[in-house]
Amino acid sequence: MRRGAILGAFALVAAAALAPLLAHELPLAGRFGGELRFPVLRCLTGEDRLWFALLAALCAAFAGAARLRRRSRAAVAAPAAGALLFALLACCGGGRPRLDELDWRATRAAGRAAVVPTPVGFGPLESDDVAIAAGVLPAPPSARHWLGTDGSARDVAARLLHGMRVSLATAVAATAVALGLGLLVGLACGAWRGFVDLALMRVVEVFLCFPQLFLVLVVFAYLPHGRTTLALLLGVVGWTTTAQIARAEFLRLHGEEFVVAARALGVPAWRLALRHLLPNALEPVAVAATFGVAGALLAEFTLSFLGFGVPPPTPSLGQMLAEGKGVLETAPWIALLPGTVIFLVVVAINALGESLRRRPAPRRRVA
Amino acid sequence: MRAWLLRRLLLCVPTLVGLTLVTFLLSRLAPGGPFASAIDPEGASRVPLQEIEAMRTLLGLDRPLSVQYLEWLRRFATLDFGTTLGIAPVPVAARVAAALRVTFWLQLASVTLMLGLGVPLGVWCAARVGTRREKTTGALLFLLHCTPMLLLGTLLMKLFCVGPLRVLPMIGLHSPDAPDHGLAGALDLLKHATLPVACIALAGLPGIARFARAGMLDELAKPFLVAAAARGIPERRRLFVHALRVGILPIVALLGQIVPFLVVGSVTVEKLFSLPGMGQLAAEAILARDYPTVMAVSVVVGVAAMAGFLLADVVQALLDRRVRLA
Repeated sequence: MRRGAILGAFALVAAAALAPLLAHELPLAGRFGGELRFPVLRCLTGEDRLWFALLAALCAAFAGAARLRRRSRAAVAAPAAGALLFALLACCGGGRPRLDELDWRATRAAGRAAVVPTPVGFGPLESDDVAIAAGVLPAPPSARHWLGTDGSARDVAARLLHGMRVSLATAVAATAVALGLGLLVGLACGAWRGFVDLALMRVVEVFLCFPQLFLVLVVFAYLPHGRTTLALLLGVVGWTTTAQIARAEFLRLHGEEFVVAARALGVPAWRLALRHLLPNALEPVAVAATFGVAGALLAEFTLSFLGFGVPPPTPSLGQMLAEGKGVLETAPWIALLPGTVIFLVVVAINALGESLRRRPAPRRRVA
Repeated sequence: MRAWLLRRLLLCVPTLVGLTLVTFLLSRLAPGGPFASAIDPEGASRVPLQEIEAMRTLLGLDRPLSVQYLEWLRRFATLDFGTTLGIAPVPVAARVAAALRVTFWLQLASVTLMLGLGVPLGVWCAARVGTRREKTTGALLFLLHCTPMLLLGTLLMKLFCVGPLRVLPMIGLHSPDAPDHGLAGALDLLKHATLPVACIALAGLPGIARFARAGMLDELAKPFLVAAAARGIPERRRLFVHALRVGILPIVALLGQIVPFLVVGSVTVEKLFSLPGMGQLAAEAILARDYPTVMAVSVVVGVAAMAGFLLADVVQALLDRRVRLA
């Protein structure tokens, strides 16, 4: 169960990170007029590179965990090699596409290039002229478009991949904001108790009063729409759970012997909070954060369906659903697939959280 | 009890003030403002400045914020929400009332269905814990819990509205050709409401079932139930009369979170099925930047939420004295 959950979640993060290598309007590699080029790699954007760096870090963490547990050499070497590869990929990019690369289909047809396209073969924003010429839009699934196209002849598979990545990035950023705020408030409640605790808990209650989605919507009315606002808002709305859990943990830890001992030894308050309390309170908070990512993902999906998500040219799953609703009869895949993708991601994340929650705490395992 | 109730009611006052104050300040800090359209992007004014000033005085916008807030609060207390912004102004109160009616009945039906299915399901799971059937049910509930409401809604739509079955209408609350009153009208309404209600109920089902299961598991381990079984009391009576009476307490606490939904409605489902409820109203007002409506909706929702928490606390206190003492 746990291995499956970790692997599933990793596969989804990898798919999101590798989206440009899987679906791009440029080819992966090609010999253009005798010159070997890697257009996708050359044209990676800053965001793509950030994703690769994240993937490299994840792989490195896996390798480290395998090493600590004295797994076989292969179990350590494989993720380590992956980390190296992704770190290298993160160093590529920054270039601009050239005309013969953008028009690689024509170039190949004219016999002026040997080209290896991406598996999907289309970018998320690219309208396929051949599908338009065929006259049936949205085009049903075919060998050319695995999951068909939408009403503007854009490849659904490519849009799903890139849309999932936008959703994941937003959800993770939102959770990070929620985690930071929640830990801070929880720490303040645990450290000063009394009046501060009482006042902050009232604030938490006010937040809990509102259905989360509604709160985000209302605040959205007064703010400029955009991706950063969305992530920040989802985070600001979601911090209450973390705060409550962190507060409970800090209050519990305050009575423990090692904290009393540290105090007696004259450890300063900030050090007590950061080095003694925080690490011991992290586990339940991490579990809550995992479920938080799933919640933020669902919220982002709904918001972008309602028209408050990422602005249009960027592919977004909720928007795809909103567009696909009108053609539910003739092209049900457009409306049903984005929801299915979100469903799979949420299942993987929740399964991960569930297995983390059931894992016995290290202290108990020793005892 | 009376002293406790009084204290609990007093705690609502700061929340209420915070709520209205935040709503008011947000609307004043919002970009644009009432005269933004009268001023060119270059900074030149299309309307003479004196006229803008006169208008500001007329609308009372030149007075201090605190005076404006109190004035707004006074009008709010008498349910005077002003008129909507836009080409054809309508009293906000009328729109809110109309939307509230739709949402309230829709949500009430959904919540009833959700509790009616979820609680027995949770009780059953707790009674049969560990069996293969219970595990399968648990796994299915987990998957349902992970399903986005939108996917659920589109699937239902695909199945019953445009798919092979084609038995239910897809959007709205009334068919244009159906009569408003009488049996035919009621049947038409029922048909339109089936899918939204099913969608909301199914989405909430796993949470309720899980809560009921956890509460019941705690109870079932207690000696009084073993004693009841030894006395030969039938299982159904033991579960639903003896154990559920205490095991249902955590669900009562959930009531506080459910009541606000009776008023907000599910934005998602209302938008998906094009129902003229509060969620839809809020989403439209926000997209149109219609601040009077947004303010009215958010205050109404906030007050309802507070009332919900209050109700949950009172019911809990009536059922369990220990809560009151805490």
